Amino acid sequence: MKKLCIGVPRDYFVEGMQKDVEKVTREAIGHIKKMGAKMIDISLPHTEYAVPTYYLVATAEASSNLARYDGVKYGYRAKALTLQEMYRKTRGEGFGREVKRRIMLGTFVLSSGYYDAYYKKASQVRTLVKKDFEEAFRKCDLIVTPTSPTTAFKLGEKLNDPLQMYLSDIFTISTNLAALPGLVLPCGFDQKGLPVGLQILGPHFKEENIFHLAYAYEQSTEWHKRKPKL
Amino acid sequence: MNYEPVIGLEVHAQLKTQSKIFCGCSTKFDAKENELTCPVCTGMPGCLPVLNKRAVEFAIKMALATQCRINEKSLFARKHYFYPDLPKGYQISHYDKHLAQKGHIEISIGGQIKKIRLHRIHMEEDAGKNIHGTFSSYVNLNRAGIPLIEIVSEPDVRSSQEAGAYLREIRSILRYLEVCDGNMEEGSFRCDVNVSVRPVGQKEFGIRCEVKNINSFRFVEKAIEYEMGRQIEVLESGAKVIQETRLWDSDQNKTFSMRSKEEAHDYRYFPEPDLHPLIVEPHWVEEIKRTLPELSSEKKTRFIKMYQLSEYDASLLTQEKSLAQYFESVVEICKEPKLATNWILSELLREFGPEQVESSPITPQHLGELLVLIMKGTISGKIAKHVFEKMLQTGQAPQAIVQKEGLVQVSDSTQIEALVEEVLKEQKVFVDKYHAGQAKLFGFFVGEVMKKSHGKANPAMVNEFLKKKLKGA
Repeated sequence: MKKLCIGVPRDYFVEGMQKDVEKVTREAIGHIKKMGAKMIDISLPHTEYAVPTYYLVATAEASSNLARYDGVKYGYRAKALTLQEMYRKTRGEGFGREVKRRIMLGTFVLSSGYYDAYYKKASQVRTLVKKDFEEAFRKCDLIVTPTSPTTAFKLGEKLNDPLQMYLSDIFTISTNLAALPGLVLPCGFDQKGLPVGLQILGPHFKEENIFHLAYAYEQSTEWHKRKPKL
Repeated sequence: MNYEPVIGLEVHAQLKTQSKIFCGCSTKFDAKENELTCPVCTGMPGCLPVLNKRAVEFAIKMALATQCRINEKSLFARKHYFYPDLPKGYQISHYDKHLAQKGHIEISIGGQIKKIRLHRIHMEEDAGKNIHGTFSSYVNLNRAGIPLIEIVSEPDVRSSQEAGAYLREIRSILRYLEVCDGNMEEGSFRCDVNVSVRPVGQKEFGIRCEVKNINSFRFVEKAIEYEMGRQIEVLESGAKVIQETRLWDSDQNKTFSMRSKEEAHDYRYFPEPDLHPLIVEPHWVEEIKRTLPELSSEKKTRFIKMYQLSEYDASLLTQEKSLAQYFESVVEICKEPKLATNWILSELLREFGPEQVESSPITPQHLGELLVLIMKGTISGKIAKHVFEKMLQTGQAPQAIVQKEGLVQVSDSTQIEALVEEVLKEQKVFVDKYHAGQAKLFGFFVGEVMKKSHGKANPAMVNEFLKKKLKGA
């Protein structure tokens, strides 16, 4: 524990973050410091681009990955008279609203004439996000961050405001874009009694250190034993 | 106005690997429907592709044999379209960073060598096959995931004959390398043709059409000629050629429109996230280079030099690697290249196609021995043809047949002299005519002596004795 140097990205405490979530997270970071780790301030400057980048790259891949659910040889098949109709109905009936939204968005960003502006651009930004982390991990062994700017919202609450909904992912998707290992564990509750998570990120193939820190934190706190009131 | 065609060709060649390009399924041709499939090649959710190294090796062999530059790093992409025979909804294929490019091959047209440049060679997976019944259609995914290379030429081809020669050469190289069996009927060698026409002397290319679905060399040539005619007619009528994809119909000997440029698919290519970039290290390429066999063009040049063959004979003998090997084995035994060439080209190839020679009942050893029997004078050429027939039927060694049937050539001068005298006595009338000036009759006497000897008399000696006796008589 004493040998670990842990970075806290200042870009992750954003405007509009739920106040008590920020407070709980900062307390957790303070606790880790007390446990003996060396804490340093770091920056991941491309954080603000992570959400738009992710929703271009991930929807593109999803639109492609979900093409196999065409009713021909796997899963649900709708009854129809022609092949075209079978494809349309199978996919129309089988996929939910958010999935359809992502398939359409992903298909669009890969389309001829739009690829360069969207998918290609997003891939380039993705490289910048990855470089942010490479830079940061030159200075520290692990990074701890909040998991989400807010605690959980109600089921279906933000379906009509996808941009707001996607922003909930802002702290967790950079990891996916950079293909890094990450872990989230309980670190407290907000005023409504909803759980707050602490995220630990590490460099490629350094899961061991992530588990060490998470285990040590869990051993010295009680958060993981408490359950929110339902 | 005079027009010339501008032609580019795309060849899809199935690689002869044991297993498919991204999974361990077998690639054999005649299996039961959907027998050779697994979760990977049927596109089941959660499966990941793993690239077949042997397939890459085969593709590199072809790239090296066609003088291509091989890229150290290439990328696989996903090409999307919905079709029942494409289980994942996309085909994995090299896209903008190809395996190899900028190669060339040489073709021979009327004794002239012409260089046809290759734009690129890339790898991709084959799709399955749809089988259409009267009331329903079926999908067979045995072919899905078989490795393919696509060989794309530059628009350097200027006639249907050149296109045919180009395809034959590509096929020959693939077969020499043993990376593709080049069977157009079974679909292991398929080709699409891009054709446009332009007035002779014009620099710019005309608007092109792509013709698909052509499954024989003859049809490629016919399809090109049909397209040239059609496009020239369109231009002459003052209209413009529409850029489109057309299909060849071999029953009607016509092409017809399949889809226009506007209806072209948007394949939505993007880099395949399930595969790493393909890194081909130069030392591996060097290693593969060392395993390259002598190709037909090199063999042909060597045959001409080493065996003093004509260019025509040499090109016939080298059209198939197994045929060339057969020839060299025969020569090794009989040491008579010209004789071996004649027998292989006129006798053996009358019975077998160049690709079947290998499995003919007459082994190169036996044919070589037969030629030795001729050269030693043990049997005559005529008898040898009879022995050859027997060898075809029985697969026996020539000596065994000669002995069993008592076909050894008669070279005993007393015997031959007796036969000649007998014939001249019997054909007294013709002998007189011969002396009266009908020199042509000499051949007739030879024939009669041969007949009497059941073909076994040594023809040279028969000639000699006949001349002597006729002069003396």
